[in-house]
Amino acid sequence: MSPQDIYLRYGSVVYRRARRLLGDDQAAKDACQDVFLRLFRSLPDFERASPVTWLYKVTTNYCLNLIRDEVRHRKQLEARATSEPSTAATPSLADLLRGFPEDLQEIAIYYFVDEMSQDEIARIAGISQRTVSNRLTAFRNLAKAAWTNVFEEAPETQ
Amino acid sequence: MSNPTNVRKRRGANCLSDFLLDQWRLGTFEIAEDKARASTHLGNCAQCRARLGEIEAVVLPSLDFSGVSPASVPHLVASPTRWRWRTVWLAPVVAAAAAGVLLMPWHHSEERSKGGGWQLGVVARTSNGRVGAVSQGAVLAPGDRLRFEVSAPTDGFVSVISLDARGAVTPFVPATGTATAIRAGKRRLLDGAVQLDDSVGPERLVLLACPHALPVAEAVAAGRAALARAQGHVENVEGLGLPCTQTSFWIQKEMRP
Repeated sequence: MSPQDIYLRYGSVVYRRARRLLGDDQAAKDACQDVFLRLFRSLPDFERASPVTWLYKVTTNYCLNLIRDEVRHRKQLEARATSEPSTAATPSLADLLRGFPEDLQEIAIYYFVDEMSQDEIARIAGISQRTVSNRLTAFRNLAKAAWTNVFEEAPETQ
Repeated sequence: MSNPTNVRKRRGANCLSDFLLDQWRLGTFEIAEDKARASTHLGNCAQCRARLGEIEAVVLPSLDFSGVSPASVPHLVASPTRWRWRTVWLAPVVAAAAAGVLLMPWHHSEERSKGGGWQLGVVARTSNGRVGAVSQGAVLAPGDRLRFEVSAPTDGFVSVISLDARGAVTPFVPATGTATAIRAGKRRLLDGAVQLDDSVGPERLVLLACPHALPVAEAVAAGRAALARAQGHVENVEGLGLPCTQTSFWIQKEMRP
């Protein structure tokens, strides 16, 4: 297949996924461009792999990297502007993933956002189901601890 | 954040993930049981059939990769690029009729500007969605978006600035701060991109490769001084007088009808 045929066949997988994770249409179009440029560069890898699995993994990692950049960028701005973190009315995915280890972020996206089974996650991430299960447990524990800290650090109002 | 253990409740317990629905519509199942399960489930679940319909109804962005060949694709750097935008002030399309049909010389070759082993390449995405590397002298239009790839013979610091026909000097990549550190290597795609503004005429994209992190403001000041020495004629600009390797890539900006 020519690059254009590949894009026409598989483009919506990347576009939808990026739009969902990034929440922005223009960013999703940029993601399409970059992911497919990467694909054409790694065409033999793509042709050897399961196409949908390859695209899910690469697009997810691409979007996670963008989100991490956003988090880093925001941290820098916060550090410059004020000692107080910004408070958005609606937390973005970047807010939700902030502070979690990268290997847990990817698994959490597949499980909580995509609602994939642990078997599907294992296939996309290239790890065992046991590892998926362990990482989900670790993610839950960290999330629980984070929420506990939020309440412990909150000032008493009564 | 809500308790994550409660998040995964939006679909029925046996409903298909988008991952499986994508494999279904594309016919790319790796595992036979997945296909059988999807087939049975879709036959019984109106919710999943509706979701499949939604997925199939998504309108794909009109990107055109027909000018791309694997050999022409730059190596992507580890972190993906955050597109940066220049403000675009679209002038009235008065001259558009005179411009006629513009043809972009998309190429598959290795044409890039060279200077002391440093090479600058340009990847463009036109406003009509066409994506690909462009040649020296390519005709581009306001609204087109550019990214830059650099082949670096040594480690160093790079920046790309633009000198255009109306005498403006604009930092392209990076837009602010200091020059970007780059490792030696071929066809490194730089972070950052620009959208071409509404000025038309020849435009010179200058890659400055320096042994130190040159401040962007210093590069711009050097560009302005060089333009002044050339009486504002971008074609006559010679060196920018900086202790850096300099190489240029020319584009021609015209209104696209």
